[in-house]
Amino acid sequence: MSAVATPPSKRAARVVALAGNPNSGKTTIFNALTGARQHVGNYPGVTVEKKEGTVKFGDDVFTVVDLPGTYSLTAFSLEEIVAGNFLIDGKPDAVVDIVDASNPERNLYLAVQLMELGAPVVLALNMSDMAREKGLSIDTKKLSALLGMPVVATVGHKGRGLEELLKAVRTICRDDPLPPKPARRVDYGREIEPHLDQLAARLAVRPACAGHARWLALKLLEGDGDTANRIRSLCPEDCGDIFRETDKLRKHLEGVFGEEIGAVLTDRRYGFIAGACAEVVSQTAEARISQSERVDRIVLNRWLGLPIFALLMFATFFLTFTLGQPLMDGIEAGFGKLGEAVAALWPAGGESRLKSLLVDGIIGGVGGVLVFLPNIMLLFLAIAFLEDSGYMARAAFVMDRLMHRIGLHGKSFIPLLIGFGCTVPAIMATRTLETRRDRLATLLVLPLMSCSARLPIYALLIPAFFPPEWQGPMLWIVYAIGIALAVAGVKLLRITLFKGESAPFVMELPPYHLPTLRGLLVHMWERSWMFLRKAGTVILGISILLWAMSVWPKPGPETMAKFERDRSAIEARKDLSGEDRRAALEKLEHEQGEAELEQSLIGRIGRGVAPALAPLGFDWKISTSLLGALAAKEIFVAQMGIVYSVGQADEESQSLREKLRENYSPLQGFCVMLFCLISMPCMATLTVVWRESGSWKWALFQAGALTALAYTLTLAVFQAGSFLGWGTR
Amino acid sequence: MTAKLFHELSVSQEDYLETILDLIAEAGAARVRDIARRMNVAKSSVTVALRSLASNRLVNYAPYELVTLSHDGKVMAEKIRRRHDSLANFLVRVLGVDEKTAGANACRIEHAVGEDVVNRLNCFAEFLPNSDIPARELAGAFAKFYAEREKRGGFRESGGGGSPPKDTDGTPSTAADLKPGETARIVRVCGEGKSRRRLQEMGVTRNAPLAVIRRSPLGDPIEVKVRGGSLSLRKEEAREIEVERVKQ
Repeated sequence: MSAVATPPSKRAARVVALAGNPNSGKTTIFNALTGARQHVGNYPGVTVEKKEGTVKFGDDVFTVVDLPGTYSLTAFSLEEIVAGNFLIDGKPDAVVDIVDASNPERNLYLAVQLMELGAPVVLALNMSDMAREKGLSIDTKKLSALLGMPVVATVGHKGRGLEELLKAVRTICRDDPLPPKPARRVDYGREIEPHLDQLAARLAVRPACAGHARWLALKLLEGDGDTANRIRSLCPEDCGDIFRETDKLRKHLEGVFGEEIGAVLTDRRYGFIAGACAEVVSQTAEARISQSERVDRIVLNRWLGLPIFALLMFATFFLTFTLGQPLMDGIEAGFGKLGEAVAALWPAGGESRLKSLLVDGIIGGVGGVLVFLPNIMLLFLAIAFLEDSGYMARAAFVMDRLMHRIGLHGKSFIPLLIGFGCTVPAIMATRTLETRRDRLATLLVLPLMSCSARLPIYALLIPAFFPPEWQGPMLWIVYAIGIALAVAGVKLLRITLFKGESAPFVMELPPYHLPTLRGLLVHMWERSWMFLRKAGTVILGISILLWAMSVWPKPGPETMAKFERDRSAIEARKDLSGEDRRAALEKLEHEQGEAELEQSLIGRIGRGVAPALAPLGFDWKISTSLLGALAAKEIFVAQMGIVYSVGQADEESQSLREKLRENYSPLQGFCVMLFCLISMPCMATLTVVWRESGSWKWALFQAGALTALAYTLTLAVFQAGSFLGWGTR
Repeated sequence: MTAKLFHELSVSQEDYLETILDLIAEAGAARVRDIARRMNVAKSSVTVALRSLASNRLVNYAPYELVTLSHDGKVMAEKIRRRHDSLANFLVRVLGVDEKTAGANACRIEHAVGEDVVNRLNCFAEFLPNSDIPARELAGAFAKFYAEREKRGGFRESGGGGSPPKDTDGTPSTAADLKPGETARIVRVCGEGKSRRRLQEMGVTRNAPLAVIRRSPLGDPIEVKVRGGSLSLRKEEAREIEVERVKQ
């Protein structure tokens, strides 16, 4: 009778799932509960984030899982499938359903489904302060009795009510006392109920279904595929009978109602909620125009809407890139210094593979990863602000018409805009898109938004080949080609890979909130950490590999010996002044660099692919530089500097421009820009695409498709241009 | 009275009435078994449907007895039958659809089409043989017109260029037609599976009031308020929501 309580220390942590509608303040409560004790992972096999944290409450330890926001337990998106599966199969010890108290009717739909599921639920009436402001007062006791679940009022961002919430969670976890039976259940009416009972009774004979037979019966009736699978595995022997019976019943009921049965059930649930709300919610004050509506009258105004949107987008871009620049410069300079310091450990002039590996390979590679961090952190700070404040949905509302015409979602605008700065954070920003189809379509065409790393290439080539009055327009043409191709690309994807019904654009416009600093910082940190952990390591590996390919193998000993001889010869010559000698030595060093690159794996591959690229007007030097640009687009410039023996070149290098002018025609120059714009994005981009899409196949597909597109277009332009004699000098 | 009931019948209820009328015409009486066979449904479904029709006093039904139509039921069934015949007639004679296809399509159209339209179609089919233009020429002229229209880029989404259905007093009847500031009651949500269920689960269900708040600055998505929440809907989705204006 008197069971000995297990000492708390030996008890495994109880699992508490946080469920709720998007924008119900779920994440705020999660952050407030778990503080820094959080962990972000992925659900097995899918790219949906799994956020977990721990809470200590007295002697108890709870593992809190922040489920993706859902409106119902019917699976529409990947997020909802994940959340539903966790609630149903994961059997959490308690479920906290977070309900936006200022909008109870819609939010209670999920609660009613959880009630029907028979899960151990605690209802958190969140943002109860806003509800009060709206003049809503909710009788928590009565609601608790109606739904048969404890109800707690909370204010997430002020941390109010959390203590009571945890108390209720603890009670429900211990089953002490047993949670009250709901005073009322959803009555589906005379036509449905008897059939429902019959089906439920049939399922209830199996122990595995007994606890929630009515729920399973309802879901079967709705024709829910996941539930059918569940039944199939629970009772394999007679699932065929059950399905036949359900199908018959569904057909019959749809005959009676002349409507899809799922719709009828939804109607009834909302009817139940409306009844419950009528009893427990009272409007204590005159309904006033809400604060949000007042803001929206300006922000979504017919004339001001677009300028405000443009302003906020400019601010996001400015924050991310303009303010990020000094930080990036700092990181680059820091790693440069570090490299020099490490290099100084070796005797001057001495060549060592270890030194090269450390300085150029590892330190350079780590720097190449960390250099993305300022952009990513600042961008996600801005995005977190836009999302948490509620503006993100408005941005989509404002832009949707334009983006929808292209075949994308209103929310695709921000990633595409950020793409002009850097593709890597832009691809991470596609997370704001809800459907996988929209996300993939957006991230596949994103590299066509000419990123800032390609600007040095244009900056080098345009002045080299085009007269001043053409330089500005030329740059615009290149950017415009990218945008046009992206639009065409999305259209193409929509009629091929992502054919079919586009996801409905039913999007909630949540009330505005002032974001909390903590929420913003948590969000920013999560993204940055995810980038470092999941993409950073791969990018580092690849950049070391590319470095190795550009260094090995070294030229043969006789070539090296020749350079050594020449160097001694110059040093021995008495007729040269100090200045001239230095220049001669430098020239020799550049020649050696050129010879080394030519001998290296990259140089050899460059020569190998050169015949294939010849119809595009590219020689082996350009081919080799293009290969080097896989590490980062701007490296193309440095590589050209090496193959033309002008040493450390940047986009302002006049001597390199001279060489280019001597060796290539403007048409070839344009073709190089075109190819750089379209072809395979840099390794960091591909890695992030791989990570964000959840499959390396998408990254490979993107690389292949873009390169093929670049090849075809450049070939067409070069051949047509040569034939017509455009820009061929 | 009848006209009002007419609207409240569901698709399948109309089918039941029609089938019963046919069976009575053919065999003098209708049995549950025959109805079930003819409509390809379970007998239990027939029983439930009959019960509901009986509660509307459209059929006389008691278990194990023959099913007959009440006076109202007969009037209505004949009306439905006439509607079917007019439609099928129109499809065959004017549009040149073959009889089988015409019959099947009429079966589906008859539930959705308004009385006014049926009358006009009837009228047109009647007018044809009696008009000055020889019927054959008119049909030929129509075929030409049809082909031209098709070549010019087909037909507009909502049923060949017509505006969405209007209530009798001319008020707009989908959420897309409402102006910002207007409120209406949701009559039903049309459209296909997923997007329809999503709308319903977010509270866009029958009888809920729906208010259009504003249009996006570019005109397309509209903001609506349903059950206390603000939703953004594309016009193509708003068009799936049939509404009835609430009298102010």
